[in-house]
Order: sequence, then C-alpha cells, then structure tokens
Amino acid sequence: MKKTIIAITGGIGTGKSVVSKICAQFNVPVYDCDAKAKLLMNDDAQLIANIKALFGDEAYVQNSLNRNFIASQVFNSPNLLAKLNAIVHPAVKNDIARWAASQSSNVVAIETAILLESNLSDIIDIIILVDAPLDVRIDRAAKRDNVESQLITKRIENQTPQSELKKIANHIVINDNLQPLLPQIYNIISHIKKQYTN
Amino acid sequence: MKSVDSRKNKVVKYLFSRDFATFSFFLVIAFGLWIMHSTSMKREIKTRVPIKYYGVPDVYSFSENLPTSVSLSIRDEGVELWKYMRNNIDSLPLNLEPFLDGSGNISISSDAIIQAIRPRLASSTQILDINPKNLVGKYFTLHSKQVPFIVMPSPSLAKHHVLAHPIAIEPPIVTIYGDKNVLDSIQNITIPPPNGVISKTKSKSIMPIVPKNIKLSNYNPQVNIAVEMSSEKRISVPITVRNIPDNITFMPFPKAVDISFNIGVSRFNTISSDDFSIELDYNKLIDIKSGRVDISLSKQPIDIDNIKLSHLEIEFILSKE
Repeated sequence: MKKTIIAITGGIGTGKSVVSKICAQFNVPVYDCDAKAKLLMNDDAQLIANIKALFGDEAYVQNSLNRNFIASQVFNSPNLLAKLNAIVHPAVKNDIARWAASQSSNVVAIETAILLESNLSDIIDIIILVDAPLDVRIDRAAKRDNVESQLITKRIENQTPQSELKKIANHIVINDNLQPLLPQIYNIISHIKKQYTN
Repeated sequence: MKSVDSRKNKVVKYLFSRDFATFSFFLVIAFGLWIMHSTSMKREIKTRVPIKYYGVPDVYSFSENLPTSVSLSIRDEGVELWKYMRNNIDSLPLNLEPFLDGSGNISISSDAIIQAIRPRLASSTQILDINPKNLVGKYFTLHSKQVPFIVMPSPSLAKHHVLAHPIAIEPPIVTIYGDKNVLDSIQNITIPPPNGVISKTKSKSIMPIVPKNIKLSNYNPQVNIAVEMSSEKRISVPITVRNIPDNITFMPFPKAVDISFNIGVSRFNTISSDDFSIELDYNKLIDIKSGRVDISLSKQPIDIDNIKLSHLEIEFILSKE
C-alpha cells in the first residue's frame, strides 16, 4: 500500500522539530532529512564514491566526511554546490522511499528545510508549513544555536521565503509561542489520516 | 648597737627558758579545756536551706512560685553547729508531684518540710523553728498538643553533597503545653540546622526554638543528618491526569518531561521514574481554554536536590471519544 508522505517544512527558527515531535506522538513517524543526509554521506558507499569523484579524496578524513573542506569548496562556487546537491538529494530521496516502505504507519512525514531545492515534490503528498513571525524565528534560532541574531537574519535571507512556501502548503501551523501547537497538529493529522486511510 | 644585740639575746634566752616552757604548757591545756567546754555546750543558730523543686508535670505552670529556700532555727552542740556553718546544708530536693492535685493551689506543711530536711541534720540537732511555716504557691493547668519537630531552614550541605536520608529527629514528636489559642497557631516546633556547611553525617542534640509562653516535653531533640556525595541523574516522567472520565482522552505534549536532579550515590541506581509523578487534575484542565497548563512535580523523593524540569508548561488536548 502506498504511504502518504507529509513534508514538514519551514525556514530556520520556525519550529519544524517541535512539530515533528508532535507528529511522532500522533503515531506519524518522521524522517529528518538533514540528519539522515549527514548519515548517508558517511555510510552510503555509492554516495561516498560520488562525493570523492567530485571533490577528490580530501573530501573524507579517516572515513568521515571532511565538512570543513567541503564547505570551503562550495562556499564561493554555486556550481559546485549544485553538483553536490545533485548527488546528495537523490540519495536522500531513495532513502526516504525505502524508509517509508519499512514503516507500519500508512501516514509518514519528512522534516526538511529545503523542500523546493531537494526535488522531493514527486514523492510528497501533503505539505505542512510551519510558520512564525520573523522576530520570533530570529530570537528562537539565535538562542538555540547560541549565535548573533544578525547571522540568523542572513541565513533566513538565503532560504526560500515563507511566502513562496505558503503558496504550495496544504496546511500552515503557526508556531508563534502564543497559539498552542498541539490542537493545530492534531486537527491536521486527524484530517490527513481520515482522508488518506479511507 | 651593742645594747640592741644584748636585748635580743635576752629575749631568745627567755623563749628557751624553763619558765616559758611551763607557762606555754599550761596555756595549751587551758585552751583545750576551753574548746571542749565551748563545743559541748548547746547553742542555737539560724540557717537558710535552699529548695530545689522537681516532679512538676509539664501540664502545670506556676502563677505564684513557691519559696526558693526556708529559714531554719536549729539547736545543737557547738561542734555540729560549726559543721553546718562551715559546710552549709545541701539544697533540699523536694518532689512536688504528690502535692499537685489539680486544684491550682499548693501548700506544703512545715511537717512535710521538716520530714524532708531531717535526714540532712545530725540526730542531735533540734529544729526549733521553720520559716515560712508552709510553702504556698499557685499553679494552673496548661493545654497540650503533639506536634512534629522540623529542621528549618534546610541545613547547608557541601557542594556535590545531598541528604542520604530524610533528616531524622529523635523524638520526632514533641508535646507542647500552653494556652489553647497559642497552641492552635503552632503546627510544628522548629529546630535550627547545625551551623556551617555539612559534608559528613552529623548527629547532634540541638535546642529547638521555643515559642513564647510554651513549654516542651523535650528540649534536647537529637538531630541526625546523613549526607553523602551526589551525582546528577536524568529521568523521564510521564504526565498523567486524574479524575478523567472514561470517554475522554488526555493528549499532552510532550507526553513526558525530562527531570534532572542530584542524588546521593548510594541511591543512584535505586531511584526510578516511579518515584516521581506529574499529575494534573481533569477538573482543572477543563476550565483551561488556552490549551496550555503549568506543570510541577506532584511526587518526588525527599532526598534529592537541584531539580530541573525540561518543561514548565505543556500543551494538551482533551478529546472526546
């Protein structure tokens, strides 16, 4: 039976992880794309070979991805970054498919900050956008990462605008520290489960 | 100069003469006879005997105290009187319990006092008079109540140390006596903690803080403070709800709260999430419209400290089946 895959997306500081945790509590298993991609780059033999082919053997130190080296290479080279994404994103996509198939739940979710950039649209059934006021996002992310708020602002500017994501989102969860998240997500998940399991 | 030396020689010569020796011999004999005569003569003196009362039940308090001493006129031979004058008569312990009948008045007759004093005097000593004739006082009955001793504030423990066990106080309960209104306002008797920072198990008798106009049945409770090295432990405690109807489902987020705390190393492996609880009351939850509720520990072990909860507020849904 085909699994219904929900994408939980949103910019930095919107609170995707909390939403993922609540989804998991409602028996919707969640795949963390960012964390899994990091694992795959260290574990997937084909992906490792492709990365080495692109960056050379320096890309790995003692069988571990040399993040600093990769970052320095792609920092001023959008072309190289696009090539890296073209290697990593399909590997993640394949892993999502394998992972989703192995889940007992008919409804599963993935958490990703780069939904549009990662070309996952063909496997995604529903998009939940997590949104929050800009000042809340900056404050939340700065505290979490223990960095200056200016740095968070720069990161936000480099991400797909929330307004673009709103255009494609099926559901929007407001995580503004005022409205409770639980009923919002409960209603969305209940609706999705009813819609896709009947 | 010669004449002074000559006089001195004359005096020395006289002191060692037979005449002077004979005079001295009879002088000593006369003094001895005089002493014998004086001491064997019966005489009278007045002396004061202090009284130490005991045996007053805690339930009684004196409004008019009994005299602290009595004056005795006694007669005896000089030798005995000389002993009394030189050594004084020991204070007289007097048990009041037989005289306290609950009437509020106490009167101890001279006969009873004499009976008590008699053994302290020589058999030859005559008691001629005693003053006052009767020992008189007034007392009233106090109300009583039992309350626990508590050590307050908590003792200062050395860094990385915790209580190995709850503070033990022996006796744990004390009877307090006093006016009913005062008793009603007292729920416990406070014992101040030992001074300084405690890094080793300590057992000490500590004077409690006695409220005004209150008597205690025990003024020397023994406080045992067992301390040991501590370590941080983390436990996940589920959130539960009581009084919830069967057709209602309680859905909290998060379902469980991580708790970190310091605990003594001896108890590190014995403590579990069962020792804690975070319990909410359904009857209070139904009045909360925000979907958020503050949480705190409803149950926790006593001998842990530095407790931190990962969440102080949770979200919840009450779903009807």
